[in-house]
Amino acid sequence: MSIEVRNITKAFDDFKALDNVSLNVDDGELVALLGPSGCGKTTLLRMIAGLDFVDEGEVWLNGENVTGKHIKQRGVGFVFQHYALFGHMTVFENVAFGLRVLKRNERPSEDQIRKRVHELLDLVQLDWLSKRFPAQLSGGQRQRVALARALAVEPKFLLLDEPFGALDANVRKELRRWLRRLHDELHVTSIFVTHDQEEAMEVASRIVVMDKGRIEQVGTPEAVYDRPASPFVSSFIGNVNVFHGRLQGGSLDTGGWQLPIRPPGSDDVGDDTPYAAYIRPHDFELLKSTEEKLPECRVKFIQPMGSVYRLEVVPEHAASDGLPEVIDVELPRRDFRALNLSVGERVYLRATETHWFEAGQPAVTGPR
Amino acid sequence: MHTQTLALDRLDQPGARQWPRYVLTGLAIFIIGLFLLLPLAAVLIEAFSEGWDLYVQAINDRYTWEAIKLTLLVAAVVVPLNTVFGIAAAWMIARFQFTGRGALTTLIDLPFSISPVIAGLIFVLVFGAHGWFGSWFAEQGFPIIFAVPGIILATLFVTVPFVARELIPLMQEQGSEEEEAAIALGAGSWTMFRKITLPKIKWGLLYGIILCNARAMGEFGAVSVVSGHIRGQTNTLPLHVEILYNEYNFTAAFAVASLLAGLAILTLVLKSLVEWQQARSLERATQ
Repeated sequence: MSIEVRNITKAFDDFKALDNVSLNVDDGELVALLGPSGCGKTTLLRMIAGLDFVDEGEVWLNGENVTGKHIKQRGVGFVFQHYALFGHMTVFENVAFGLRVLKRNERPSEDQIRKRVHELLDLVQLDWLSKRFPAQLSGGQRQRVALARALAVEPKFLLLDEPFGALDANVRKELRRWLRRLHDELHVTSIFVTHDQEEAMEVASRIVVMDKGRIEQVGTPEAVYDRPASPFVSSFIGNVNVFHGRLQGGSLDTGGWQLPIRPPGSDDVGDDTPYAAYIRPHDFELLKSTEEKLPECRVKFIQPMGSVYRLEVVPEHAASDGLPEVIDVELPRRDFRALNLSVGERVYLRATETHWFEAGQPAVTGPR
Repeated sequence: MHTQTLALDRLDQPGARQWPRYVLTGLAIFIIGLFLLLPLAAVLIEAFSEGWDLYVQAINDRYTWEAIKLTLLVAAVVVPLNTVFGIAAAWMIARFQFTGRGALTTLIDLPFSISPVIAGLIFVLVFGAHGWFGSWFAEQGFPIIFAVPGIILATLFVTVPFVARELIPLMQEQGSEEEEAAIALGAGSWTMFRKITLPKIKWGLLYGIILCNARAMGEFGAVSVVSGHIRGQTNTLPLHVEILYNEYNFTAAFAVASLLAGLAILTLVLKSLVEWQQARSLERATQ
């Protein structure tokens, strides 16, 4: 049960919501559409579902072109961002709705409907609430009812729009794991939309990163985090410190302040070529003293975060446009303890891993 | 909401000056009494001034019965039509973006901003004997002006906004997610309307229908222009009251008027009931 999207374009008046987007999702995958609000991820999901229609391009489900087909004929289950439960119906009737509106010759008997609904409510662990109304449920419970309702019609594809967007942090974490387990059990090809990179990393087997109506990168959570294809992906997934500068010998010169790193395989690139170095907070090492020629910084702020320590360090003897005002550094607890740093101390900064981008274009990623 | 309660609390505090409270409350009661209760009482007192028998006799008049029947007929035609139109228009405006959407919203309000007399005159101009289409209809043996169709048309025009006005903000606020969910679960458009949309708007709809009905039965201005005041044929209840009054038949006039007053009170009771139900279902939904 694969999903394939070919060269979809969609505009709302002057605003181009999707710009020539193509995507493949294999049978049984759980894929996240990740991006900031307004990037087109929900629009893409609605096109796949058949809730909106494409201007150009095609949607193929399970090898069949369904571009012009009604949502009823696509075999998709859709879970809405705000659940869209029917407020005037009990939980039981909400879940039964999809079965009750079937044509008479396809509709199961009342007994079968009852059995099926209770099975589904058991699956989402809510059978004890079947007589309640949606308004009497918590957010997390509503979400699970919405999921049970979507599953009642035995969809071949499950599409979820910001499934955890409106929930408390704790409930959200619990539901993420639960969705993951449920997917392992049911094996329905699923796509969910989220703006939360942590959520995408934790739940999805593959992540589709989107920005401004285009797909920036498709890959496993590891791939998009470790090998971002563009500056946008690098800064959207996880925190990052950005250094703009020009190559100068063995260093990146940000204007009077050198970081002694160079893109791998850039030996034949001439001096003065502009580059941007994207370095994650945990890809720094701090040293109290060194023989090497490393840039000097001063510790401005220390925040213990449990397993890691978050530090803000300020580059010394430097004020240039290419530098971040403060550099975020994250040290494992053990390393921080060993260094025994305090605010105001002088440290030397070493980058252990850098994502390089040349004039906005992806170059090479690697150590140093 | 909160500031209001606070302000009232302050008036309630011991030591607070009491006179503004009494003056304001007294003024409100005085105005309500003078302009609302007194006329109502006058209608009833006048209607029964010559005793119960004459009251019954006044109402049990052939022409009064014809007027009641005509009024009920007009309401029976106008209210369903405007209910359907109101739902359709509210649906269009609340669910779709299209050019002319703002113009349509304004147009629906037009009957509210036009004097009913003008509304009546428009129909005379279009369908009257010297109007654009009037002679053609008359030739077909189906006159519109000074006949029942004209009364229905004029009443339709005047009562267009009630249902639509009630539903548009309600449907806009509710949004379309539940309807989309129903479609996504395989419901057809009609099933979706019957099982999802209608239950969600039912109290607002009922409220609009009640107001529409009250106006349809009570409309005077527009109907007066197109009716021709033919007793037993084109006389509605409000027109009948005027005729009786002009004939110095005060007791009968007030007796018939008391029927309309009764209708008004019944409408208010129904309206409060619906509002109460609406508030209760809203409370349940936000619990």
